[in-house]
Amino acid sequence: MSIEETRLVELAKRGDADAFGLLVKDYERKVYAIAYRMLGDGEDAKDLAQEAFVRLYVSMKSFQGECSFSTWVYRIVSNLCIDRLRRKGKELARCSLDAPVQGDEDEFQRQVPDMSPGPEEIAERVELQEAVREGILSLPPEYRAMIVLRDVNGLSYEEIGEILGLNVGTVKSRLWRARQELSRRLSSSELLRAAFVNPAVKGGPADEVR
Amino acid sequence: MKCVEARQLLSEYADGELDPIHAAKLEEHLSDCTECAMELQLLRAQIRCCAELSDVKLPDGFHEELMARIKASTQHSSAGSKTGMNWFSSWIEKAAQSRYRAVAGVAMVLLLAFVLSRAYPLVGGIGETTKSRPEGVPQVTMQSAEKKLELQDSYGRGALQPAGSLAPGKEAQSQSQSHSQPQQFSSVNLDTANVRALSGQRLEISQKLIKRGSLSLEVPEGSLDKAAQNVQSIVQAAGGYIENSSSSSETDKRGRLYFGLRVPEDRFDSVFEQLSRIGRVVSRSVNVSDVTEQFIDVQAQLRNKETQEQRLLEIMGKANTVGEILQVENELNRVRTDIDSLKQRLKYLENATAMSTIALTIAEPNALLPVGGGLLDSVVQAFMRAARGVLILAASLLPYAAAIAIVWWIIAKLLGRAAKS
Ligand SMILES: [Zn+2]
Repeated sequence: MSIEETRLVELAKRGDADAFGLLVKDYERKVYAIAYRMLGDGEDAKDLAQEAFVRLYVSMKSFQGECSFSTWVYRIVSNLCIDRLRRKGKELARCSLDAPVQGDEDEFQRQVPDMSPGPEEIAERVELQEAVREGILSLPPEYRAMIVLRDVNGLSYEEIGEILGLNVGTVKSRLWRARQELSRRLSSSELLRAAFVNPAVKGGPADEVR
Repeated sequence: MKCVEARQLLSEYADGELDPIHAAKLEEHLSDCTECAMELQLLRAQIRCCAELSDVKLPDGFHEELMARIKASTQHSSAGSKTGMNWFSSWIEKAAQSRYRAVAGVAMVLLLAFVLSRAYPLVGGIGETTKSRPEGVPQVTMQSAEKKLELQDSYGRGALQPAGSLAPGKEAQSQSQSHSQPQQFSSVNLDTANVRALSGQRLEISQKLIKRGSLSLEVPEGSLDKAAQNVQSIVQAAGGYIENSSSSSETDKRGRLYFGLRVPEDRFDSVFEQLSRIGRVVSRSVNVSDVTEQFIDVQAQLRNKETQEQRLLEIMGKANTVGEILQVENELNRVRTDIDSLKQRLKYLENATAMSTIALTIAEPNALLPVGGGLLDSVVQAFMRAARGVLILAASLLPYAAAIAIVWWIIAKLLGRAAKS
């Protein structure tokens, strides 16, 4: 955390909207990107990202510097996203686990129903990136957060742990499962395989591990 | 290691986060098991694909819209009293989370109207009591606390100017300022202490000399190689080195060697003397410039700039507005650029004074005479030759010219007389 940022945070805590504006400038792109990749819809993402910043501003005073400011920003937006997805999931019964999953990793290991589009459907969309994007959006919220924070936005295990309130061990194992889940959805299309791996080599996808 | 175990470690391994012991075991397995190796390849491809999704364009007007939302929320809350703020904001937060937003919204508007009507006279009252307080009495309100910080701040910036130079007049100015601002005494004392330390150091610094020698030698034909070896051993024995060297076989096969030598400053004289003995000295010159003052000056400037940097960081810690933060940041960048260039200058001076340079030319007989040989030289020489030719011609014609002139004069006279008669 730079000295400039520290000072801006102090001013923003006193209610200086201009100082807060500069902080927003530093983080809005990343916050919006997280929201967009988590929710998959531009309008929703914009709305949520702005809500995150308004909340941030209102609760500025309670920021005591126990974590870095960036962690705090990402925590707010990640939690808002997960909350919204859970609520949506309940409404639509879409890609839901039977109950909200948190904490206990054994419980979290349950099989997730495969909601990804069928092979032909994906094969029509030639773009691999599109498939990955869709794949991420078909993951349950907790897994999605893992992929979005780590693989899309490149945050470290430690940062992710602080953001989501998990210890590093949990981050590792959850990330592993999230990646497996994503790869299961992608490899059914053979897209990744076709794009990146020597076609002569054929082997079963991640399923063998289970 | 079994495949099941290996697969569990792949994720961490792909991130480079796996501990070395497990990583080694995994790598061993991967070298045997094509399936797992393939799985790793797939995983890496997948991670790469995800990373490509990181570039998301922010919708147009996002920032402005957001700031308008935030400003709207501030105008409401700033109307509330200081103690009520926390409660009020946490209430808004709860209300925002609540499912009954519509109800909460109505309640909020009502409450806001109430708070506004109560708060306005209250705020005016606080303002008046602040004004009526005598100066010097500690004040607890937010406003006055900020004012105090501003004072310190503007003072801190004023102090930057004197720190920038060693001019005694400005130093005195900074001290007189410090008397009018007793609270700031400590920081200014630090500054003058710094200046004193610097002037004290002036005595400690030994003379800093940049010595440049140039030596031209002639050695018997065929002994160039031996001379070169001599040069090398003399320089090495003195703890110096050959920075660059070149040789040229001139026309007439007379060889010439050039050396750029660096030797420790304190060994310069003895090395120069030893080199002179290698052959017949054709020319020698030594140029010594004393850069002690310059050295001290650069050092002092550097220290001052570093003090400035330190002070700016302190000011940054007290900055009250965004404008100030940006201003200090600018100032900070400027000072840091200066520090960089001063450091470079100091490094150069240190290098140039620690190691003297000697430009040495060694040549076989007569190789030194036709200096140059470049295009310009040959043009000049050709011109000189031509000029000389003209002169010689003129000189050799001179007696004839005199005779012709006399004959002409006589003929003219005779013709004149003949015409009169
Ligand atoms: Zn294996």
